[in-house]
Amino acid sequence: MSPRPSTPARAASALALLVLLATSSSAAKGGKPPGAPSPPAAPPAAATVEVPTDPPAEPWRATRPVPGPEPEFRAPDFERFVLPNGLEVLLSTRRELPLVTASLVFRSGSAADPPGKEGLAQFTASMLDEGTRSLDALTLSERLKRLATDVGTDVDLETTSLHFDALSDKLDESWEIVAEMLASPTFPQGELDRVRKLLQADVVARRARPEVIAGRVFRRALFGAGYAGRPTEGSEASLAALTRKDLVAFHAARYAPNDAVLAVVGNVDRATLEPMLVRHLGTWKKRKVRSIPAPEVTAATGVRVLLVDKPGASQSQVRVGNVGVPRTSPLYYPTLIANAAFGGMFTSRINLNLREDKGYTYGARSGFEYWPSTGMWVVSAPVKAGDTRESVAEILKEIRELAGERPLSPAERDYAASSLVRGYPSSFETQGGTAGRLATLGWWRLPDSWLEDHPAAIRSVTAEQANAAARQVIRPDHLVVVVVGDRATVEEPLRSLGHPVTVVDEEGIPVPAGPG
Amino acid sequence: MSPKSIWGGLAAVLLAPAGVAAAGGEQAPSIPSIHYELANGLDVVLHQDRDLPLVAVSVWYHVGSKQEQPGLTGFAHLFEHLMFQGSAHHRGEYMELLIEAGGQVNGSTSAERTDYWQVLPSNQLELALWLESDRMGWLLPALDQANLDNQRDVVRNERRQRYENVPYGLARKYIVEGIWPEGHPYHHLPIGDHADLERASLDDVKAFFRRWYVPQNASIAIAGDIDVEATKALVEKYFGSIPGGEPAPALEPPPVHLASETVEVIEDPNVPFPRIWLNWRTPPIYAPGDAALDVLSSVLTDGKSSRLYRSLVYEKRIAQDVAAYQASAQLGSVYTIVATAAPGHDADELKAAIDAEIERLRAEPPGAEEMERALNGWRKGFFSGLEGVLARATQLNSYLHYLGTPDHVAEDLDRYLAVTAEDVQGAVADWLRPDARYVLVMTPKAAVAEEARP
Repeated sequence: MSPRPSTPARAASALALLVLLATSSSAAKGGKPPGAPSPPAAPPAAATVEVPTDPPAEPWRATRPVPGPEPEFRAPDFERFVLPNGLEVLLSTRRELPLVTASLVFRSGSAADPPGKEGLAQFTASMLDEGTRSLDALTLSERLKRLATDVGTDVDLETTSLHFDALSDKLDESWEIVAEMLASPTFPQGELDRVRKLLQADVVARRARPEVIAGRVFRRALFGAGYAGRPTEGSEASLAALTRKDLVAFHAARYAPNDAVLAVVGNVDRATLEPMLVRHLGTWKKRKVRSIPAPEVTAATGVRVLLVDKPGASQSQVRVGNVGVPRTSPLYYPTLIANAAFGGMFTSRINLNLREDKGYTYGARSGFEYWPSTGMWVVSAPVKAGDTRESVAEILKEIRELAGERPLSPAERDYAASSLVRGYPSSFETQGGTAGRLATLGWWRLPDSWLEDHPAAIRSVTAEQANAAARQVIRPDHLVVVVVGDRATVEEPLRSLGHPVTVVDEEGIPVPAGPG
Repeated sequence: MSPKSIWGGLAAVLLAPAGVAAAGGEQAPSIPSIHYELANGLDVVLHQDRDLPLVAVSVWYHVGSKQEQPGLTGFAHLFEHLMFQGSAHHRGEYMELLIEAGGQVNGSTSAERTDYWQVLPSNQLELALWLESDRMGWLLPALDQANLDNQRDVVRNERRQRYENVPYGLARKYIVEGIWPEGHPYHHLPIGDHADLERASLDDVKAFFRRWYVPQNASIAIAGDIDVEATKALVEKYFGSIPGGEPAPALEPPPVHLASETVEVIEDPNVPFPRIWLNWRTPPIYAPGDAALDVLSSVLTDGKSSRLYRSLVYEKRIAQDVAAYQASAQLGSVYTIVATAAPGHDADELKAAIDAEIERLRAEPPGAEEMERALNGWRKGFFSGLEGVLARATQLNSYLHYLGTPDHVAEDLDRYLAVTAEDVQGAVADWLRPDARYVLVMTPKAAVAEEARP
């Protein structure tokens, strides 16, 4: 859909004035917190009122309570079926709430944008609700709102997804509309010109965000102008050049039911859902999809620093990393463990050092992206401008130690594995969470038993395996460092680290040396 | 019909799971719970749902930035951070054991209250109660100047990250300062100012803890796979001996309307496009008019056919986005309409177009179809809000905080479903007055700033 504020706006406004302890939060939502207006009363009491009583001495509290028996994990039951048009469906029926969540994920994303047509996958997805065979943009929106069905789309490097949630008694009517969006969008020229302007403005708005620039320059440094180096949202110029014909062609080539998976979770069973899908998606035909050749990727060599000037910024956005491994790599599980201990959790090395010890940042982390033929890993931290050099130095030190004198200890491996394994069941708590797991399973063509086997696969990774994987991928002498910050403050200190520093623009292109 | 469990070997559902009512009729949302008080005044709310072996523990302290003293803005939130630095019987990182147990943990501070929560496997409930009670009763022995200095740096970096180094990030600060008078409890943001954060001392921390972090001023909601009687015993064991202290006194509500329209223009080289916020004071949360104004937000900006989206973004194409929302709170709420100019357009055009739509609603109520779309959205939102034990625990604490009763979901939804088109029209007339508002414009260009001045 075209960029617009999420609604109802309640969630946004309720969170707008909250400040959180940690950045990675799945804050609880909930309806509006209601309450009676407070009656007029005394003026604010001074915060210095002393309460004389201290709590009693209770030495028994020094002993940590013993947990009860570990709950047995059983993955959610689900069914698989394939529609006549080749669409693969994974359904998990749950009856707690009168809701259904659906997530349809194609095996094409912005990596399928032809050279010079960056932003095409995104533009195409943004047009799905702008007119279909029988509905114009306004009517389509009105009908969905009347059903209270919220539809969204996401485009990433390798995926295009459409997801919605609906009241279960409105599922049939919702599919009638969503099916038209998928199978017969009309890409009306007038709407297309309007949406293009919105997408172009979004490109400009994103350029004002230091974390977006940091991510883009980092990916560009690793992947050049191809594959993951090209921004999903495209550029103002590439969007300007896209025509209706391009969108129609992309839709025809890439929106294939036989090249997608559909995960459905909630208050509907197969006997109801399957005929509903067959009825509504019958005109959406199977087609041949051309595969996209895997990109050639060479990991960055040496250590180099790319600096983007953000005059006056009170913080610098720091990224450090390199090319990673594909999802199919045998290093997948070992790197999951290594990353969790190194930078994937609040209590991992990177955050305990940069935040809880040094106070350089509100939060520092590391993460791996796993794609079909390659991947990347990155440490990211927004840090106080004056602490930029020390922050980069600490990150480089942590990387060096992980690969050298301070590999993960068995205790760190156990801690990370415990957190991942014991936390895994809660990812099925919501319908959306379960739909995400099912879509992942289908998209990667993992075995059905994967949902159930995932914890055992984590548990099977030893500290040695995690360390071997870390040494293979996280190499202290081969790193790209990106800093987006106030050049006047950070450049000279960064140069004192002893690695080459190149000043680049927001697209990662070197800026010619000038008098300033 | 029994809920399909994704877990093996569990007991049958004892209390009805959330959201389920009599078969056949239209379902009403609910979060069945029991509510009682310990002898020391701690409010306890228990909601049992044994469908998954998960439990959420949510602790609310009825203190927020609204109780901060002059010169100590940001203190309630800084204090929240210190609650994660260990306590007498568990030194070091509060989260350490919870994360190992597979838990999710966080806390947040608003003007109204400070909350702490964790979701974890239900066999680990006692771990959370042990840790939460230890920091409620025995926090101070574990705190020192080094913790304070470290978290002061962290919080100042949070301010830089989330407010200063984000386009339009300081708008929230300008709005609370523009809409509430100096000295009002809502006049400043929970994140506070750097100078005030620098000023906070360990003595301030101790005094704040002793005054506000007491059972009389707190509540705990536990939701999920629990045995009710055993949980009651655990809550008593861990929290029962903490001295009760004093509840927070109620604060004075402010004058109702602003006396005039004020327009403030901020030029900022880091914002890409002009953006305008129109802000009004509106009734306290749950007072008459509150729900009607929320429904108005849907009529104005929910979907392509909503009044403002259709006019500003879809037809006139002078805006890239527009949103209307109300931040409801105990001493009074703020209603905001915000729009970002499309390239080549300015804040004045946006303001005129927004005002035209407000005038239209002042003259004539929204149509039946608009009302139906809006209310259907609110109805569904109440069901979506019941997903997950944390959402339910938080909701129970929230109702308790504002209303004194935990399960108010069905009544709350009814409050919205009862809103009529005339109520919406009336709310516009009563509250969205052109001569009683604070207008903020942030713009990259001086030229636009000049034009936007009244």
